[in-house]
Amino acid sequence: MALKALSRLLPIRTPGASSYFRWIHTSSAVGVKEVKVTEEGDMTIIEGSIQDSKRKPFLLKMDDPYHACPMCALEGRGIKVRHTDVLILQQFLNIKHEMLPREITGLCKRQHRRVLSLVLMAQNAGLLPVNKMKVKWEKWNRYYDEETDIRDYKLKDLHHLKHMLPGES
Amino acid sequence: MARKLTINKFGKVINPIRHAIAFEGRWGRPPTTKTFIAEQIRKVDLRPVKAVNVRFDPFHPNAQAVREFMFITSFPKIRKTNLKCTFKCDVVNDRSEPSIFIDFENKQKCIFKAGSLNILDILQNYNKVVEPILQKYQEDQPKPFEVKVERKRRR
Repeated sequence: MALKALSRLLPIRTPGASSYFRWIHTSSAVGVKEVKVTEEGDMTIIEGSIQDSKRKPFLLKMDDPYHACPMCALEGRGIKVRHTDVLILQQFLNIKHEMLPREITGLCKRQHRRVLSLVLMAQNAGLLPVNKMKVKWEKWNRYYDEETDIRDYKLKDLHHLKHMLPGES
Repeated sequence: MARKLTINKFGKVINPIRHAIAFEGRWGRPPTTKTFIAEQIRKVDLRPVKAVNVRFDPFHPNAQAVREFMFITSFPKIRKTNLKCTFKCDVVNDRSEPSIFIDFENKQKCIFKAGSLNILDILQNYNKVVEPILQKYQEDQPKPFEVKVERKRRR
């Protein structure tokens, strides 16, 4: 009887991932928990708290008045994302190593096209895994030179982010 | 591998040693969260418990875990363990943390602040607290009175 009733209880939900606006977290998306047990005489108090990640001091502050997309906000601070920066590109991907839709990632249309090309470059270089079957000649990796890349464009062309550029009068 | 070979009466070996591995892996499905909760529910015992008070706000994002705890303790199989135990539920509108207050007959108390706890975390910690109390409770309780019935002697 108890097992039949259990089907109502599942799935277990924790307060976490789905409620955030953007998919960049201060703590992990699963919610690392610490259950604290304190005993004071006859009283025992049991409490749970969600822990912050170790990488919290390295997180960029994203309080922009213009609500720029996360990749545009990086470029506004002079940070250039390359195809070798796998840990950044990994966050925009699915479990099947496909690109997530723009509504979830919060990217603008221009950056979505750019990230998609950077992911393909990283997959051809063997830095990111691929779900597809490879053709015989594709087992050898291809490597790209950043300076010769066509997709790389200058920061001065970003007119809508001029207020965020560092050291520009 | 010291294994005895058993021989049939016709001189044939019944259990020969096979060099190839016949099977490797797990029998059946791996355990899920469903099975872990079911293990904990079987252990739940309300004998040393005097009262259970629950307080939650239905608009709190994690009010589900406390409501599930009420649902489990209302199973008739668990309620039958202690019919004297009282249950009380307060629904509030403070956006306060959902919590469970448990009073034992041993004058001990236990409080769960379930703002970010699962139902599995609550049940696991509940059984940990109750186990030493329940062992002491069983020892102190008097054994059932044995009545010796004298048989009538037949003439």
